[in-house]
Parts: sequence; C-alpha cells; structure tokens
Amino acid sequence: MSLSFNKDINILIGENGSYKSTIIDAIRLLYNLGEPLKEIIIRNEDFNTDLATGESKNTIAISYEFRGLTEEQKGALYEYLVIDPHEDYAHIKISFDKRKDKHPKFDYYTGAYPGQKASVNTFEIFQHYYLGALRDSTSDLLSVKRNMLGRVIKRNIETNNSEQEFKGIISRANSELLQRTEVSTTKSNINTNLTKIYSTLSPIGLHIEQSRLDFIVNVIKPYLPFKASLEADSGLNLFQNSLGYNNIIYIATVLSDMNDRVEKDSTIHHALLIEEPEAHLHPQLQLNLYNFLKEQICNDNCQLFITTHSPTLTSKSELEKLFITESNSFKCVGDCFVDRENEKLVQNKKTLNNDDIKSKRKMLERYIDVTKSQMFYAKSLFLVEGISEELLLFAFSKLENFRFEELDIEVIQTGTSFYPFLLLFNSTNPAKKINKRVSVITDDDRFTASKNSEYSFYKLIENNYSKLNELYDNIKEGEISTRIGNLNNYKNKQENIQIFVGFKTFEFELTISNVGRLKNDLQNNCLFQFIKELDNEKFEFIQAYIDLCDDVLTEEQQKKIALLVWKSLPGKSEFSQDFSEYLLNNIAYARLNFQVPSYIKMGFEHLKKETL
Amino acid sequence: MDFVITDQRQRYLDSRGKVIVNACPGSGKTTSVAYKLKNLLEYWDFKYSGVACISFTNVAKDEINEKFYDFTGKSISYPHLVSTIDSFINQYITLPHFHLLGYKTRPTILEDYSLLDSFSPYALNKYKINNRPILYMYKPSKIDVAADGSYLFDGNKPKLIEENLITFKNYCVALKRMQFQKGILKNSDSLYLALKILRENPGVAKQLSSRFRYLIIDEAQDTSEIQHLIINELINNGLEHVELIGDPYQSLYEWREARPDLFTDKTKSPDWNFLTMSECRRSVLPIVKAYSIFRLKEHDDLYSSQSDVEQSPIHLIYYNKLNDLVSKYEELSSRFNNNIVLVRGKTLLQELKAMPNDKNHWSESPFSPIHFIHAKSDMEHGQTKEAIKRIYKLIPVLFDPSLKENPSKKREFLEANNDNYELKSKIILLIKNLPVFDLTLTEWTRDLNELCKNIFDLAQSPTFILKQGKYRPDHNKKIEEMYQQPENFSKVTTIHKVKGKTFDSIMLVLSPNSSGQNISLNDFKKPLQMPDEKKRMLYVAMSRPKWQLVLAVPSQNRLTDEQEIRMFGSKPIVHVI
Repeated sequence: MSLSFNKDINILIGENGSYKSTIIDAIRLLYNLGEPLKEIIIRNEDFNTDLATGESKNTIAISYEFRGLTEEQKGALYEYLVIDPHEDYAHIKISFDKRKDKHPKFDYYTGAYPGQKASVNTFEIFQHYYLGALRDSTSDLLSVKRNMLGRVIKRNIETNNSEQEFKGIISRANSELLQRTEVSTTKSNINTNLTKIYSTLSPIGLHIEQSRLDFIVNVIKPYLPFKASLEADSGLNLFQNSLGYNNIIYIATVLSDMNDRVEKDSTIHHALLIEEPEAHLHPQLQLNLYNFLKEQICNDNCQLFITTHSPTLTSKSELEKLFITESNSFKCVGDCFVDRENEKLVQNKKTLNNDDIKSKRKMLERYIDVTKSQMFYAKSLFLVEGISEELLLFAFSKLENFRFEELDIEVIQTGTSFYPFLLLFNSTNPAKKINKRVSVITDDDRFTASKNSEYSFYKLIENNYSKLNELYDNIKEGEISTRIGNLNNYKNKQENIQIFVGFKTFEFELTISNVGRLKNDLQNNCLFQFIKELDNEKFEFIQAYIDLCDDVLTEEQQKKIALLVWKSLPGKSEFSQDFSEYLLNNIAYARLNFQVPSYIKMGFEHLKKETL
Repeated sequence: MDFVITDQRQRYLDSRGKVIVNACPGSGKTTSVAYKLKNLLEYWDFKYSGVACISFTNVAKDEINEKFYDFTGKSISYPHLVSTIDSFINQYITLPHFHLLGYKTRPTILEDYSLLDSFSPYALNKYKINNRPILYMYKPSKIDVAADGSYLFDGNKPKLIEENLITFKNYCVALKRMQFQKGILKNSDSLYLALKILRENPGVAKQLSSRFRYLIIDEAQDTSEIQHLIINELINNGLEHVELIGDPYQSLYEWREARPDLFTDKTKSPDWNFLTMSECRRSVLPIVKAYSIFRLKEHDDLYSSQSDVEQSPIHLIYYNKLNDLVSKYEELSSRFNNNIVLVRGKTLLQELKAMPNDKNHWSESPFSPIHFIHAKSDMEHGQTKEAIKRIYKLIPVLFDPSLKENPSKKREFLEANNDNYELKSKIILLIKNLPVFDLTLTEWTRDLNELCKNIFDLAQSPTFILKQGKYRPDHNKKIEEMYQQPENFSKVTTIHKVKGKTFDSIMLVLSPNSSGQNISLNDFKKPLQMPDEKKRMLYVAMSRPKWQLVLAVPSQNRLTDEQEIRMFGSKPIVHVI
C-alpha cells in the first residue's frame, strides 16, 4: 500500500478498524529509531496473519520517502538521497523479519538500493511527538521521564547559559529550609540513631537534591490559576483540572517544545501525531484547537498527522487535508477533484474542465457541515434533496426493517446540488474515488407549472374535473428535468452509484405507489387514513371521485386519484413531518397497508449489497 | 600528546578555503592534520554535516584516528569521517548513485579482479586480432578506463596498429558494458564512473559537498588524475574548504596512477592558498642534508629542529657479499631500539633472508586453506578482528562453492550475515581449533576438511586439496616446517612498507647499478626537474631515521673520500665487509 501525505496537515478519517492507527504506527516506527527509549516496537505477534488460513507473513517492510527537502537537509540526508531528474528525495526502508523464539530482526537501508546504511545518528533528524488515543495527559505532564515542560525550560536554560543561576536559586532555598528547626531536629535525631548503630559513621547532612538541572526544572509544574486572584501563584493542581484542559495544556507544551527545536535546528523534521484530538473536548474547543494547530504547522519542517472520528473537525478542514482510510486503500479526499478533465464529465451540455471541478470542490467545502461530514464515516450513502426526503426515508426504512445505523448508512441532504458530492465517488480512476455505495434519490420534476394556483385541489374538482384532466395530460407529456441527464452523466458508469428517479415528485411517487388496482383497497391504505384524519373535507371530495371509478382501476384512473390525493396534501415539510410520524406511530398497520415507492426500495437494495 | 605550534604550523592551522600544503618529511604532517581536526571539531556548528579526512591507505587512515584520539581522548565519529580515498568515492558516489547511469542495481567492487577473466569471456570471443580472440592477450582483469574515456591495458595504451586499436577499443567497450550491466566493477571503473556521475548529476556533487563541507586529503601527492577531477567537481559544486597536504617528493604510487605533477600544478595555481612546512622535526641535520640531494635546487630549503646532534649520523658500508650485512648493521645500530633494513624489490629481500613465505600448496578449490594459517597467525598477534574478517569473506564460498562465480550473491550473503554472531563465534572456534601444525600437509588438509564440516554443519566436507606436480614432495612435510617465516623476516622490509613511519636508524641496501627495479648510487644526483620515482624512493627511505642513516653500497661502487664529502656534506663513517 502506498500513502502520500501533505507536507503540513493530514487528517486521517475512516471507519473503526480501517487501519488509521496502523498508519500512525508505521510513521512512528521511523520516528522512534532515534529515540533512546522506543515507544513502539514490533513483536512477533504483529505480523499479518491471514484470518482464513492462520498463516502469517514473515516480513514487515516500510519505505519512507521525503520530498521537498531544503538544500541543507539534502546534505544532511546525503546517505538517504535518491537523485531523481524530477526531484531529489530521501529514502529509507526499514524491515522486520520474524524469527523463532527471538525478537524480530530489524534492518534498514538508505538511498536507492540496499547496501547503504546511513549512520544511526541521522535518525535524530526525524523527531516526533505522539499523543495516543488513550493518552493520559495528566500523568504525561507530571511524569519525570517525559517531562515536556521541563525539557523546554531546560533547553532555554542551556541557550541562555543560566544553569548556575538556577542552581543558585535552589541553593538559597536550600539554606533557608535547612535553617528551619523541623529540618534540623530531624537531622540530629537521625544522626543520633546512626551513631548508636555504628559509631564511626560520619553524620549525614540534608539538602534539596540539586546535583542535576533535570531535578530542578522538574519541580516546575503548570496549573490553572483561580479566577478570583486571592493569592498570586496559586491555583488548581493538575489532578484537579478537567481532562480536557490538561489535554490542551499538554498540546500547548508540546508545540512550544517543537517550535523551540525547529528554531534551533532547521535540519530536523518534526512529526506531530495526535490520535483523536477531540478526546475530552467539547466541539467548540475542538475547533479552536484545530485552528491553532493549523497556524502552528506552517513551518516547512513540521508535519501534523491527526486521526479523528470527529465530524466537527472533519467539517472544518479542507478536503485536500483529509485522508480516508479503507481496509485496502488510502486516499486523499482532495484527489477526487484533481486532474479529472480526461473523464469528460458533462453537465448541462458542457464538458467539465479542471477548473470546473476545482470550483465544485470549493462548493463542496462550503456545503459540508458537521452533519454532512458524517458521510466520510459511513459505509454507504443516500443522497437526497431535503429534509422531507430524509424524514420519510427514515420512516420507510423502519417499515422495511432496514436499519440505517446497523448498516452504516448515512442520509445526506444535498439540495439539488448532487454534483459536487457525486464527484467524491464517481471517478474511473480508483485513486480518485472513495469506495462507497451511493443511492441518489431524486424526481424528474416534469411539468413544474403544476405548482400554480390554477391547479390547486379545489380548482381540480371544479367543472367536472376538467383541470384534473388537463393536469393529467400536462404531466403525462411534461418534459423531465435536465438534472436527470446530468445525474446519469455523473454516474460515469460507476457501479457504486445508482440514480433512482421518482415520477414527477417524491410526494407524487409516494401517492401513486399507494393507489393500487383495486378500488376497495384504498379504504384501508395508510395514506388515505392519514388524509381522512387530517382533512376530512378534502377526503370526501377524493372519495367522491373514487366512487365514479370502476372497481378495477385503469391506469389513468389510478394516476388521477393519485393527483387528487397529492394535491390534498399539506405543504412539503409539514406533510413529511406529520406523515412520517403517522407511519411510525402505526408501524404494524402501515407495514400491511402502505407501499414504499419501489424506486426507494431499489435504493435500499442497492445500499444493502455487499460492500465494494 | 605534545604538539609544538611553530609559525608554519600556525599558518596551516589558521588556513581555510582551498589550501595546498607542501610538507617535508618529518614536518609532522599527519600530526598537524589531526591537531587541526581537533581544532575544527571543537567548535563544529553542524550536526549533520562534517569533515571528511581522506587518506590513501588504511594504515594512514588509522594513524589519523590514533593521533586524534591522543589529542582529544575521543574518536572521530558522525557526522565526520576518516576514510581512504577509494572507499570514500565508492561509498559516497559510485555505489549509491550507479543507478543514475541507467543500471538497475547497486554494484559490487571486486576484490579479486581475476574473476573478470573467467566470468563470461565467450561473448567477447568475436573480438580478434590476427584471428585470435583478443581477450587472451588483453585480459579483462587488466583493462581500465582512463579519465578521458580511453582504454588502457595494464595501465598503458596498447601498442597496436590503427586497425587493431579499433578492435581493441570495441572489445573494451563491450567488456565494460557487460561488466557494468552486471554491476561488477574494478576500483578504476568505480573512479571513472564516479566522475561521470558527478559530471552528469551536479546535484550529487552539491549534496555531497553539503554532507561533508570540509575535505582534507592527506598524502595528496598520490592523488590520481581522476581523483583530482573528482575533487574539482566537488569544488565546482560548492565545496568551500579543501586541503591537500602532501609531499610530491614522496610519491611512490605511480603504478597506482599517482600524479604528483598535478599536485605541484595546484601549488602554483592562484586559486589555491599554498603553504609549506619545511621544518624537519624528525631527522638530525646531516640526514636532512643527505636526502635533500633529491630535491630541486629551488626546494633545497629544508632545515632540522631535531636537537640531539648525533656526532656522525651517516655511515657507509661497502660490502662484497650480502651475507654479513644484516649482522654488521645490527652491531652499528645496537644503541638504538627502533631499527630497520630497507631494500627495494624481491631479489634483495630473498637474498637477505627476509622474503615473506608466500608458498601455497593448495589449489583454489574453492579457495586455498592457506588463509586459515594466516588467520591463526593474526590471532596469535592479537589481531582477532582481522582474523575473523579474513575468514568471514570466505564463508559464502565455503557454504556454497558456486558463489565463487557470483560476487553479488556473495556480497548479499556477507551483508545479510554481518550481525550473525553465531557464525562469527564459529569462525573463532575454527581458528582456535585448527589442526596442529606438526601434522604433515596431507594429514592437516584431511583434518581441516573434517573440522570445517563439523563446525559449520556442512552437508559435505569442503574439498580442500593439495596441488600436485612439483608440490608433491612437500606433501609429507610438516606444516610448521613449510610455513615458518625466514630468519630476517622482521628485520628487513621494503621501502613502500615504511612510508610515513619513523625509525631511530635505518640501513638502505643499494644495488651495483640501477637496471630494472634496482636502485644504486647512480641515482644520487641532484635532479633538474621533479625527480623520477627511483629518486623519490631513495628520498623516502633516507628520510625515515632520526639519528642514524646507514647506506650499504656494493664495494665495486666505492667512492673516493672527495666524492663522499661532496655527496654527504662531510665525511661519513666508512665500514668495509
């Protein structure tokens, strides 16, 4: 598998188990080579085991390439360099071989071909900070071993050459403390005992441990001050803080350490790896943190890797920073919009060029909000026009015993701008295509003049249904929306995308599906029941028309009844809310006496198929 | 370690940029380099960019490392490098970037060139001169590419008529193409290709000059033309600090393409900051005067600061026969501890009973077990690492004799097992348990086959066999008898071996005339242009001792007193045996 990252920000998203953390671990393996204490090691259990056969692979091998190097870095990484006509880059391949009864054998080479090993000192060039998913920022802040705050202070002391002054402070504190009677009494008691045990032993002294700078800086810890400044320099200690705040304090400390080091050594490359930065943070704080990180990672030598399940974070990032992991592939969402001219997609008779596609990407970035960004985490999607479709689809799914959550299906409202969304899924090039099944639910919107007041319900029943007949004819002959042609072009012959088009409108399809051949069945139908309860007057008029019809309805009669029913419905959103609630409240009855439109059912079926 | 900073040394220590230093014998050239390294590294600002200090032999390389250690108590380590020039060019240019020339592999640099003669001559059979395949006359192992892309046989342009020269060239082109495709290189190929890589890919030179921003070349008089051109490429691509330190009078490596004239050219170039070190701190003045005869008149400016003036440091022994020469010298030099007899050529070594025993009773099947005997001797002299290295190289072929013809597979095996400590401990076990040397050659060979099989769990015993024919009578002699070193082995050596070394006293044995390889009193003439290699050889030999220089001259060349005084400035002490 080959992964290509942005030089600044990389946000890895994907379902659970789609190897996000594995990718992060693969990066960490390299960045740990220069660490005296490895945070990550390969064990014999880490080798890929085939679930079917139980056989496991014997080698783990990872190649890393670094491009966009400065001249200074090229020199420092000379042993890693692959001179290339396009761009010189640094390359290192590491491998682990499984061995019986021993740790896996580590090996590496640098440069173009095996045989060259850069000095292990060069591993220091690859510096990193890793904040794991299950991190405990509180103890990380307090830990002596990995005291980030202490590290930064210490480096500053070294730069300022002020070690002696620090030692002086401790030494003054030392003498003050030792003058306290509590200390001197304890000391003399100990010495009395010592003399009794072994008289020639010289008496002990007491002091603050001060031999090493590390110990001195280690006593400095962050805290959050009390709001009312009762007393200067006091506040909650770290254990009293919320986890979220400690997380933020920790990240701020890490970044100050990182920036400090970048300033001091421009050769080093820093990777900042954060798994689920959203942990313990409320959505607004997540965004603040993300914006802050974005500003910090503007240096050429820092690269940020984030894994996240947070739609909040996802919705605010540019698509080219988003990477989607699937079980066997890894791609940058932004790539779905890059260089696709050759696929010759047509919209409104115009063939899309790269700029058109780019502007669609920008549109999509504007459209994607917290809710819509959930589509990246789903296995398959319904694209629908609006809230009415979403509400009713949800009700229909219940009727059909089809559970969106269990099947990881997300319903996304796109308005009528399906196009930028479809570009994510419709490329002929697998590298530019997110592998998800998509059912687009739309209608052909023929004869849009049907909205006019001349076709209102009461107008239709006047004059012996003359307007109804006119409407029927107009709709029958009506021209379908250009959207349908566009959508079929956007399907781009991709199996994962299916366009399901309703006749006329969603609500009309819903009614016609529920006007069967037999007149008597209409009485029990949920939709008719619903209208009866909602607006009995209109219902009576519909009934009057039905009474004129044959027992076995002709197709024309079915459609005309449907037109009347459709026109009797309340406004689009009111209807969808009320009717979906009606269906859910009477679900057992509805299952017997309501027909989900067949194109919707086909939409369900498409999403239900095996994952791609 | 003490290091006296004289004005000349100070000028060298302070110099930066492109510096060329002409340093006379005993001027403390290598020590000054090590001291300068100490100064440079003390305030080195770069973590990943270093100084490369390059020498020509492993011995010279080790000397720099040791002196640096004496000054600092530390070893030179990353990002800096101490290396030989060949290994530097191979490691940093040819091996990693060979693929830029269109070959899809990392090449192997051969240790044993004879492999080229056996590896695939059939494809080359079609190149014929006088109807005979050219490759038997001009063996693949002896073909080199010169800096200008022309082809040399045994270091020279072949003397052939026009038409045959074209055939020769075509043959060489085909040979080299075949070699490069397989990624099998001679060291000379590597140099040629390195230059080509740098010229075609300035990025490599640029990046390498950034990886090592300071290049110091010791013994720079031995730099070949291609090596000079490689250094020039680095300079053209941004290398700012280069030091060439050497003494063109001490160049002994013409056979390895050394070009002291190019060194001298640079000393005259305005681009280079030219410094001299003309103070000899090793030899007493009369000895300095004695070897100064070989310097040009304008370079006759050496002086000595060796204070303990020996009354009469120069001795002449006129000899009739070589028999008693060594013992006479031992008597003369008995006051000193560190003495050596120097000769040129194998004949004199043989006659002085100092020819190293290089007998080899075994055929190369797949290799001669003589290496085990050498390894054991290494081990006995405390050189365990060398002993293991010697045998480790043979292990692939021991395990699988067919690898002998497959150097890249062999290399892969060696690289893969570099950390195989079990294998290395088995090697030690083998060397320690070699069959005892009071066995006959036949018995010893038999036992050795068995031992190898057991230690390395081989499916079959190796097939070490004794050579037949004239070697047959020796088969029943004991190893210790056949492989002991001659009587004067450690007392006499060749001039090449003592380059860069210091002795209290030396005796240089001269031949009656200067025919062939011989050197004689006939060479003792002030040169009018840069001296030839024989004079440089004498210069190197005579500049080794601190206190005593003994010249052994065949009695037929006996000089008159007057001649002696003219040659040595004052009357030397004369002995006759």
